[in-house]
Amino acid sequence: MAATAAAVITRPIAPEQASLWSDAWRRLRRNRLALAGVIYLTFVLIIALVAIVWTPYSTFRVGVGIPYSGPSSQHWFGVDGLGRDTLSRLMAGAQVSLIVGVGTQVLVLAIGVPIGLAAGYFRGLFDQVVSFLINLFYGIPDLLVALILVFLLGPSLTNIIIAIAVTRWMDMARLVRGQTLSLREREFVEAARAAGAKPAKILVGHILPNALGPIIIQATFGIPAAILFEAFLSFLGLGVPPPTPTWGGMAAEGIVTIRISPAMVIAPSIALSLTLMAFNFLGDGLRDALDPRGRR
Amino acid sequence: MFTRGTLIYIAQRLVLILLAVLGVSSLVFLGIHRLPGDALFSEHLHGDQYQQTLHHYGLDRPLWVQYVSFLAGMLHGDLGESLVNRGVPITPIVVREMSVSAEIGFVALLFTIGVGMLFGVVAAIRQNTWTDYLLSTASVVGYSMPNFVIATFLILVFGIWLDNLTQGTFYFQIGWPGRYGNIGAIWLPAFALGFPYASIVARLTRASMLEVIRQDYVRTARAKGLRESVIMIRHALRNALIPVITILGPLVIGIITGGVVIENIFGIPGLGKEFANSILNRDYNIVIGVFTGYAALVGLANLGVDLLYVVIDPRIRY
Amino acid sequence: MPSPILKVKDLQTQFLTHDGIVKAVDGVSFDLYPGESLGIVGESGSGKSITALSILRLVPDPGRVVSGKVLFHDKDLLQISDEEIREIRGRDIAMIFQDPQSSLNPVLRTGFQVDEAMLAHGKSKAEARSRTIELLNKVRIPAAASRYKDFPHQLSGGMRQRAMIAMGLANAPAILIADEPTTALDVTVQAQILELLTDLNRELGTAIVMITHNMGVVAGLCSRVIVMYAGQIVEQGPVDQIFENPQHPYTWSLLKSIPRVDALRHERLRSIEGIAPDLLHPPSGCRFHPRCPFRVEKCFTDEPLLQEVAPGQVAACWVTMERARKEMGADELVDIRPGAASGVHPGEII
Repeated sequence: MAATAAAVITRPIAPEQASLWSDAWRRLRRNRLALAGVIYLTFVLIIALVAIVWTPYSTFRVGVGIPYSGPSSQHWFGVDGLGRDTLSRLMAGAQVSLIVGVGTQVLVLAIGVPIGLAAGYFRGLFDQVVSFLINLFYGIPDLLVALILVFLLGPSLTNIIIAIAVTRWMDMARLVRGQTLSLREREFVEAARAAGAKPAKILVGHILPNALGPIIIQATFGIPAAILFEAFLSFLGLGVPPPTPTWGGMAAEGIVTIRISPAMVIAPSIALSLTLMAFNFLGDGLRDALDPRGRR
Repeated sequence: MFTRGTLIYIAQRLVLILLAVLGVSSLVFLGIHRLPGDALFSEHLHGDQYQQTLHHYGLDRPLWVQYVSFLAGMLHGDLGESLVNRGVPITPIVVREMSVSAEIGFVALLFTIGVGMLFGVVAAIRQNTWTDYLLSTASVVGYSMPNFVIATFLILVFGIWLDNLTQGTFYFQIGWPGRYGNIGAIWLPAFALGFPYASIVARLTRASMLEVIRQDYVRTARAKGLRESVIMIRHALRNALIPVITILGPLVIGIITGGVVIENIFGIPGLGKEFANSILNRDYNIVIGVFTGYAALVGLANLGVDLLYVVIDPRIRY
Repeated sequence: MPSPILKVKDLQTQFLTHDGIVKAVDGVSFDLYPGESLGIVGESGSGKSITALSILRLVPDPGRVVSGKVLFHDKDLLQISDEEIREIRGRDIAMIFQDPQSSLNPVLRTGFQVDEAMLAHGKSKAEARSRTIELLNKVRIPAAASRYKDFPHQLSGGMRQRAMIAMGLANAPAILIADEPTTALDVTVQAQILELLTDLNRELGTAIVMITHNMGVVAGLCSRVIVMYAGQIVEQGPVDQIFENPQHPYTWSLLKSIPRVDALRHERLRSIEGIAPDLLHPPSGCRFHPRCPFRVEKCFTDEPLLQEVAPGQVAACWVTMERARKEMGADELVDIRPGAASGVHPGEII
């Protein structure tokens, strides 16, 4: 509301990149929730890595403790129905969640971004086909499509990643297409075109960097969505097959015996919730940081 | 409100829904066509009995013949016969379960919109106060938690701890009396189902209200001497609803898919439970039926949302 | 001379922003007489709109009316309760705004929005409805009865603004404040709206406060005018007098910058040099001095107060145009850069 003088400032032809990112970084750092999220996620990552080489007990060995026993000094989170140590399984479960979360987004980016760029830039028949597909899938519940796919392909880690990515790439493609559509009208793209730059160069060198913000935000929110997806699949018995521990699967097993051993379901539930929350806080923080209007 | 244009639109959408339903069920049918035969085989039916059973279900015919008769059946509303329970037609089962899923989804939706909007408005009016911060953080927590986690938590609190606390007088019993349940059985699963979405609605309502409150027409309303409460409800809220209505489509779809998990936890006899059962029992005809039911449910829900748009925003007319 | 119905005394409205305090209205005082049409003129940021909003306590966050009195029938509007000011809004003092497109609620019917003005002050639905149709006719909206049911987006810009005027006049208020009602409209429609307002002012005896940046609008409608700059009143007086003989250099520059049909071809378009003042850190002394061709040393250090420069006319200037004409050759001035006529530039970089 400060009535500062409206002096005319000449605009540079291409938007200032450096200042946007450093500005955003500064704002992100101030967001305590996002920072908490990052810290927690680093913690989870470390645990997942550690679990590759060491867990308190073997993740698969049965009978290391009294089945259904609650938390104790030897088993911090208790023991499950087959006598396996919950903590160890929890640690290994982190691996699955992270792999699924990040893996699906990598696929989604690999498929969605190029398709979105091409559709938005070249328009024409390709764009019409892509738009049609996007609209078609808009009304279909992604969980059900993923269920069909996993059902048909058979549950395995790779298949799950593929199934989830197949149902989610449209969102990314739609976002990128929208960004491309608006960015291609900007002066700096026209200038590049006039200078004779090839379309590929324009897309990669001009349009993509400017669309990067929303893309990153979308991907950051996509990770917890994918992890949630996998948890649902596991819960319905179509997740990563046993005996591989996944948080969703552990919760599914645990909920049946909730009266006897609540720890079995509480531990993975909390792990899931905290991880999802952390990603969501981070995504929110990124979105606020990259919003040029900076409204808070 | 329901002009000729709208009725034509509804008719068009119904046709599209039918096509989508046929499409989905065809997809599933073709995708799993091999499985029923294999399943029957693994039921240790051999020789004549196997052939007889195959023949009964028409599984010995060439694929395209099967498909055509499947489509023909679909257009008559006949979803075939259960593989596991011979002679039991699938359509009535699916229809009944669709209505149960719709029932619990509807209750969850009411909760989502009602509570979500209420908290969103409160947070907006008390922007930047503790109430606001509390509600905003709670909402992020809310939509971060998988609905089965919320369900677990609620079962722990209301089913087990409350039971222990009151020596069995007050507690939540997991179960589903009768076909359509009752309020005592429905409120907990509906809450668990709706809570993540209520959080999203709360966030959106808050953001939207904050925008609307700054609008010129709110200033005009105030300049006329209207009461603050009237301004908030009649002027601000109606406009703030519009973005919420926009996400209502994906929201409803989310509730429907979330229902799959919730029904299984609480033993609610809806499509979700049937889905899990039929996969377990390898009754693939029912699986096709379930997917068909879901496709229809989603299509109808989307149509309902689009019609709601007409009611809320007078600028929209088909 | 009847006594004023509105007395604004030393109004101070400030905005508390992250960067500091913006004094949007800094010591504004004026009177409004029954039935008169008063113009408040100034560029963007001069504080004219905020002055009007302050009267009805409609200043948006983070703004606050910090001090001053607004006396309406000897009640200080700034001190009365929320309920009391709510009753006065729309009933005794009404305000209409600049952009009728955004100022009307898009999801409510137009007629209803006019009704609301009356419903808020005790009329019944039936009474309100019939009066609304009467009003819509009065503001010259054709086929008023059917327009009543229309939504704002179904009306043209001019009709929307007429509807807003109807809304403002619904309860026959003593004062109608119009904040740039014609700015968002086509020129031809502007003229019609101004004509409408003139007629209504005459017929109904409603005092009109017309806020605008357009001197032409003032000339057409108002009998008295207040010129604002940087949150303060710099000149005030009867319209004819001010147009004929402006005493404050800012008013003079404003009038000089209006292109004239009879101007000679070689005469260049004049604008006021410099940029609008920063209200966070206003210039020292006279706020106009950085842009004034006639400034003297005193202007840099001392804030001038309003002084009578002609019967019924006051201006806040150490020099005044009278002196500028006599001593600095203002009428023949070609170079109107700051300090050009007076030759005073104490080491300042523009």
